[in-house]
Amino acid sequence: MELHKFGIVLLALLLAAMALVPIVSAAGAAIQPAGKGDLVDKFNLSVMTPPLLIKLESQGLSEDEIAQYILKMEKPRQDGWTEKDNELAVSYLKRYRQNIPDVKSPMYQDVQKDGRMVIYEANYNGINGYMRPGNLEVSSTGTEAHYFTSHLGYGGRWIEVGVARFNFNPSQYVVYTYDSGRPAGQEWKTWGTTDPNVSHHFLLYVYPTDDGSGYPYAIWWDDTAIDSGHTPYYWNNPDENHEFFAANINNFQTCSQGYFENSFLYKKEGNNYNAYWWNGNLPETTDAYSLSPVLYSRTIPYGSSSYKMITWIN
Amino acid sequence: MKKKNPFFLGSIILAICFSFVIFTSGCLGEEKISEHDAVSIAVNDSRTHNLIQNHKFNVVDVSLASITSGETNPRDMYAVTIKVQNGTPERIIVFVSFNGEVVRVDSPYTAKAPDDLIKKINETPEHPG
Repeated sequence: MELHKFGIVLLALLLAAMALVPIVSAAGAAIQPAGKGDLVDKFNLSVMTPPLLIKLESQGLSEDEIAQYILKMEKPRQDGWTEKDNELAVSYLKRYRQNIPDVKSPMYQDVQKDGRMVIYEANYNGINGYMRPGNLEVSSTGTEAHYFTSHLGYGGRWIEVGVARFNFNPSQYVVYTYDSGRPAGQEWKTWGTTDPNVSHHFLLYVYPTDDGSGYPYAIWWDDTAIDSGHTPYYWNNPDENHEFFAANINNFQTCSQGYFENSFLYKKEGNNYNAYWWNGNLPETTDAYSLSPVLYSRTIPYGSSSYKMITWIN
Repeated sequence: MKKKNPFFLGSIILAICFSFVIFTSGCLGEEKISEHDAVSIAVNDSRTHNLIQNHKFNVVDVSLASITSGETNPRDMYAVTIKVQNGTPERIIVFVSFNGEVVRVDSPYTAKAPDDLIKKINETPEHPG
């Protein structure tokens, strides 16, 4: 009788353990089926469209006409931001992205770490969202530079807009743009400086008609058109990235939180210019990752329809 | 009347329990490969070769990483960073799980790998070993 009881107890333990296995091995479980995406409603679309674009649309200008208008319009730098300021900041920007070490044997020495959210499929022609970079802490012995930036590109060509801070001049949070298709050395442009602890509206947008030089694009910062040009691709893939650079791999320092939020992506479907919130209902998979010591959190906050991508170092 | 063996039921259940522990040990406790192994797996993966092509390259970093794909939970793994000299991709990050699977091959925008190539490479998973 006692043995039977013992057997029943063992059997119960076995069943309980079997029930736990799917829970334990659930990490990395199958990706949920993707939907078609959540369309951005007219109100939010209007709120997040720069006033100049709304004005041009209300005047009856087509997408192509607006593209040409923006290409030709003047895009002055921020008041007080001189050519000398621009050249100095561009020299900092160049310093990290062109520094490929010439070493003959494998060694672990990379000084770049990322916190990134990305869609790999090139199905979009624009990204519209907000970024609050945070303090982007720098020092001579720790993290020397930060890039808090969003990219849109395909086939090795991309455009971007973001905020950079360098230890060489820590008082400046530099707003910059980049076009990988511009001649070597001229890829970067700087617009001015900004307060990193408020939310900034950014917009990268590619227009649908190749005008002979490529597809026109426009880059907006806080509802001001700060850059434009041409890119060979209309369909692109987006990302939101926080790039950290240190003088030494072991010296990344504490960094307060910065984030991207309320982003949506533009996709032309037939004759409709649609916009979809960047969340898990898109047809494509969104990846997010960070390289240690960078940490990230990707959530959809209450009241929002899109991912909030937060990055920091403890 | 046939006499029941009082130890029969207990022995059978114990045998099942031991078998269960042995067969599920892979799920309950993943054996962690070393950083050195992760580097070796990363540079020998065919998807990495497709990006490097025949250019010179250096493994410049191996660190821990956390990655979320779609709506899955974040997973900790190794990230092996490779820099390619004079190649189209300048920087490649290979994510290797602690059990040695190449989960993702990425080339962020600071590198110049065509995104369609990245997508194509990641759609053909290869399990090392």
